[in-house]
Amino acid sequence: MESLKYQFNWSLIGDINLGRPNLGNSTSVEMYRLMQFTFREVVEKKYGKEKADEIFYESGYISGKAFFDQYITRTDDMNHFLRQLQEALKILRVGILRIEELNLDKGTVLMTVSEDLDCSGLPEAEYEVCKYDEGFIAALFEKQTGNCFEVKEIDCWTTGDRTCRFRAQKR
Amino acid sequence: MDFKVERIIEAIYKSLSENIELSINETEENFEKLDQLLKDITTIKKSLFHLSEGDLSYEIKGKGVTIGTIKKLQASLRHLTWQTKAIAEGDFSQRVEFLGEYSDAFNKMTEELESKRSETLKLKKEAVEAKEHFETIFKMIPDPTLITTLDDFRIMDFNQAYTEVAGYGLDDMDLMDDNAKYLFNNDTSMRQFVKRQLDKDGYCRNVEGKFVSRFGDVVDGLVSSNLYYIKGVPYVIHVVRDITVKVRIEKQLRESESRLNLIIEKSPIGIFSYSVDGVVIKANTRFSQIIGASKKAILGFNVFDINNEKMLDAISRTLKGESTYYEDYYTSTLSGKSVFVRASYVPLVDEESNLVGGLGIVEDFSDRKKLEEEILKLSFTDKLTQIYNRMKLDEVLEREVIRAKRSNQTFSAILMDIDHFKSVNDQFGHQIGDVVLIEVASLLKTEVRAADVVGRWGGEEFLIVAAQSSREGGVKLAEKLRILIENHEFSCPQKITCSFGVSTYEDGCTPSTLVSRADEALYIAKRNGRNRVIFR
Repeated sequence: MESLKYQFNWSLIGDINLGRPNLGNSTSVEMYRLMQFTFREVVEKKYGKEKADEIFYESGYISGKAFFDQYITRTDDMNHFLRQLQEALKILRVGILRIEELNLDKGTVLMTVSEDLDCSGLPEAEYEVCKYDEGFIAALFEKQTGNCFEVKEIDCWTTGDRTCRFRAQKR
Repeated sequence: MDFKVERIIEAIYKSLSENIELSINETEENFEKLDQLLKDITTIKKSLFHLSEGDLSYEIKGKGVTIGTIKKLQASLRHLTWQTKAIAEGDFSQRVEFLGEYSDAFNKMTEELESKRSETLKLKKEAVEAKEHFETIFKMIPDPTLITTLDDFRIMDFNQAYTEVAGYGLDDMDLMDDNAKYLFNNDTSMRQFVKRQLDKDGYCRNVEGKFVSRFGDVVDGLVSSNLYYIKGVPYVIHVVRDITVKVRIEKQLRESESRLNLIIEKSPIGIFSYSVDGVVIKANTRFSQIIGASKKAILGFNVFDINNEKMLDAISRTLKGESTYYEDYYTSTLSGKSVFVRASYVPLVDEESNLVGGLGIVEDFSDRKKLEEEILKLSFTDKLTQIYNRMKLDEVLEREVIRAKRSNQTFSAILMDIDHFKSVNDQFGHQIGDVVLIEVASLLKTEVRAADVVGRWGGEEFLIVAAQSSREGGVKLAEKLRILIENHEFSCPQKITCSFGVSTYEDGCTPSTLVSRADEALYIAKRNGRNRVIFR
């Protein structure tokens, strides 16, 4: 496969302090969603809905891997991993992660992300929108356990729920 | 109201207020939505019911704000359950956030649990360490150590040191006879005594007891016991110090001391001891006899009150670590009795060489001294006249010559002879002659000075050594004696006279030359008519 022009690594994020000495490292959720949703619209137009979902899942997956390398200290203790993840998502204001069920033997995890960056507060639509998060979560659990996970959002703000619920299943 | 609306409202009300499931089988749109609404209400009711029962496994199906909120509640409760389980498994890092007061309460509870658990773990660890420590000490302690019940002191456990003494191992407990199974064997009074102490103070120290080993050996032990509890049940730990050897040695020491005391008491030599402060602590009977004071008076007497400087010095020096000797007459301060003693005084030290007092060994040599003096006296006394004999006179002359040389002072020798003494013996007999000699000697002794020496030179000759006397002095003394004798009324014969030869010491004189000159002078006195004094 030929090398990609935009292959991601964390260094591409750059030195925020250097670049934004006055405005700093924060921006609004609106700006984040503005970029994501407009981007998704274009992708859907060009490649269709299913492909758009795939693209966003895959993006989220890449992001999850990079996020794990950047923010998580590798540990064999699952609880410790989850605490690190909770803390990081809280501090970075991505969402409030809560675990409902964790069954490592069966390889299933049921979790919720409240105040989700992508969708909390969105108007109702009849579909879940957190595809990016699905890939993100899949990558995180894969990095932690070494096993591949399939992640599906089963409840979303856009479907009328007040929290996003994800089910991760080891493949 | 429109009938349809009325039906809708009625259905909603019924669905909300009654525990029934309603559905509307109508194809009209409003009724389709009403059917969904009624289904949602059913879902809500069931969800809330299950949640209220603590059943978090109910699968809430449906969408919408209301059902979504209930799902969120269920998710939160599930998460809390998961966190609580994690805490129960020891993960105290779990924290609840964004749930208001519940977060505070839950987090505080978690912190408390963690703190309590840490404390408990610490206590548990300390207990384990203490137990290990105790077991190590119990095994390693060199003294026999046992654990018994409190009620009847039945032996439950013991260490290797006990096995070595008692002859029983832990595997032999079944072989123990009834006596061996209990501490202090069959001495119930001893057990009761220790039990009383344990009940009172929780411990009992250094109780002497005897133990009989498996092989019949009797062991003397000093037992110290301590009460303690295991799960509320009282036990006693006893440490036994084997003092068998010590008891035996003490007994031997006592016997030895007793023998020694007897020997000292019966000794023909006076023995006494005194403290560093000089107080007499012990004295045997012989010592009290020598001193002439009762034991009661002697014990407690302070040697520093002795009024004999030489004796006091001898004793005092022992209290500085010196051994001393005293041989002389001593008049007892207590009784006034005068004795001639030979005494040795030695300092007494303890096992660390600290001075603790002194010991005096005293012999009464009075009789012997008297005998010595008498013998000495006899050796230089003329038996008849009881004045010095020739031997002593020689000694005196030697001494005076040396003194005269040293001090440059002269002295005189007066040689006196009784005139016609042979006639006295012939006429009156030797016995009368002896009486005359005795009388003459007595006269001479009374008239000479204290420093002068009178002795019998031989036969009827007498020598007077006049100390520090010149020619004039010697002649004067001789003349005085001549007149005295001439005028004296003897018992028989009544009158006698004496002739005197006088010489005085000069440089280079020896005793022999001095006497020789006096003798020459006497010869001249005799030749010139007797009863006169001639100087030569």
